Amino acid sequence: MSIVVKQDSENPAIELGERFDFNSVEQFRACYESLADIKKKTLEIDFRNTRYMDSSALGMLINAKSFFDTKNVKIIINNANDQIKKILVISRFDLRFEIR
Amino acid sequence: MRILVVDDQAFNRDILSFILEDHHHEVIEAENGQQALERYREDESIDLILMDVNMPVKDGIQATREVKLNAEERFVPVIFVTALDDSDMLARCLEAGGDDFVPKPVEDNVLIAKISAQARSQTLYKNLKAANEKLEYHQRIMAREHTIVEQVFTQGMSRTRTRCQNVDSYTSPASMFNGDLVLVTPAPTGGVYVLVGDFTGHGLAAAIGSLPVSEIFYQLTEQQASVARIAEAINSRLHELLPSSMFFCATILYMEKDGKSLMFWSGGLNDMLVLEPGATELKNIASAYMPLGILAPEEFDDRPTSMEFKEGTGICIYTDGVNEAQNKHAEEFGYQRLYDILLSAREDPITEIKNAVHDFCEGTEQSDDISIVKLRMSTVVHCDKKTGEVVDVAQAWFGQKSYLWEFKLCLEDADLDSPDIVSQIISVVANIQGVKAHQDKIFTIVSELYSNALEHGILGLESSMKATPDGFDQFYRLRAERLQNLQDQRIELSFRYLPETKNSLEIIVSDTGRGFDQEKVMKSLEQNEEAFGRGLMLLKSMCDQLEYSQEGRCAKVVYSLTEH
Repeated sequence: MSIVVKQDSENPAIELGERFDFNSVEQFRACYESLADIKKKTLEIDFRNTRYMDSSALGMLINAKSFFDTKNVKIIINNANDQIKKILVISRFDLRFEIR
Repeated sequence: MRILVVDDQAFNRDILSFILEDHHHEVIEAENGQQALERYREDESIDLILMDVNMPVKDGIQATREVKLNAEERFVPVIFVTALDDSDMLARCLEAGGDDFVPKPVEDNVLIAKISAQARSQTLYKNLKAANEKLEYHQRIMAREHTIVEQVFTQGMSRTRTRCQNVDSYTSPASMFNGDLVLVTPAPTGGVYVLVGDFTGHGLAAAIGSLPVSEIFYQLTEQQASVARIAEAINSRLHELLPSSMFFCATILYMEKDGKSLMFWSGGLNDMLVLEPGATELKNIASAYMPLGILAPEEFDDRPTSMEFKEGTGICIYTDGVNEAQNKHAEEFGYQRLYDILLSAREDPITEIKNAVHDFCEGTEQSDDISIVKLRMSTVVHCDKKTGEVVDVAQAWFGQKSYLWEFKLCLEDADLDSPDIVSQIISVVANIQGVKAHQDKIFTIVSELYSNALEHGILGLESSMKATPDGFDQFYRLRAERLQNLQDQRIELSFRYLPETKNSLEIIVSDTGRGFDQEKVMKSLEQNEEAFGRGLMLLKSMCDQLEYSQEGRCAKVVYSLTEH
């Protein structure tokens, strides 16, 4: 499963694949850069399909955040399962992202 | 027709036979009631009996009575041939089961007309009997199939060995099968998943959809999937399977183990009713979406709602069989009666609602399925269904014991480039008893160890490159480049189960690279939380032990299979 951009809907979102790791670096960056002009002030990153991630995923999220910070777009991490949430919390991502 | 003529007078028999044969009927004769019965029993093809009343040995009335004894099995009309001036006698003939009379002296046209009339009703009877037999046959087949299907359904719907103390539920089938579906299952991490749904219609046609729904539900909940993912998967499947006139109203929810927050998706079902402790009125939470199975996957909106509730808050979910239940005046049970019961806050509102609906509908047939589920927001407790003992679901799931095993492999040069090598290894290890529940975290750990060994050890890439987004990309581009030119480089991975140190997994990853000054890295890790160095921090917090040796070329971690 690869990354899907949902740009047409009212709520722009990036839906990740089953693994979110270093293999996704280029694709993930291309995806969020394609959303540079969104009007909405939030961007959802959807983890519904994601079971595995590594620390490069954390790096990618930080990069996406800095990219959108300048545009005043807030990133929301959605549908992460408990394991993934735990990893995000261990890395203190709960302080910098809205995790739903 | 084949007609039995019964008369003790040979003369009378001859006249009747003459008339009947003249009209192409076949005639058999008997001289009294007793003989008539013998003929009747031995000859299954007799269609009609012409019976005299007064005869020796056994009279016509007694003989008729006996012929009619098994009229349900074999229907043969009896026409009495008699004078019509004795009304008492006529009454006795009818009482014995006689179907008609022909007056003596017999007239041709009257006799033939009456026989034709009987022939018509006999044809009707025969058709009806054949239809009945067919119906009974199909009914038997259906009953047998229902029994089989019912068993499949019962087993399909209740797979969990535990019962959640935070969830009370009732579901009543209006017919043998249920268009309603209530599924409750523990989450691997100790929370609870609940699905309450109602297929359009009821009975087998409605129930059939519950099989794929329960399959998806149990499969995904075991993976600790999000409510959105469950809703989306069920919608896609039902959209594919169901005819367009059929759909599934449902609420899917997940209560976290601490019992404080609820994540839910609700489509087409009645409002959820929320009763906070001490409150005097209910709060309604309306369904936000269309029922499942209607929208194509690309139109489907699966965003769930997340809410926090006070300890002890009750949440009621119910299907429309409750509010739409009708009494004999076609009046509906409605919402207010339900609200009143919930607000009066007694011990067991579900039984009260159930009884109230039952009393309300007294004397009418239940027309739709009724399901009521009540959740209580507080720390989630699961009990064994059989023994009633409290079960630590997360412990049972994550803390399964393994056996002594060890697994090693060595990757060389070109093999190091395989992008999903860690997945491949994890899928092998995860299938070992006791490991499966931890595979997501073990994936993260092994990914980190492997990336460190490869990127820093073997490829000599610096983490500091990753400080900027462009550097981040550059890092991964260089990584790909350098992987093309490897010679005599190896990474060894070893997994070992350690029973003596409280059910743990030891993972060692070593490489042939140049190593690194691990103390320096560890120190910088303490201060740095930008886009690099996070891997080690993750490792540290996910593992009981993290040790480097051989100048950073060998990393060893111990991961507890008991904790989660």
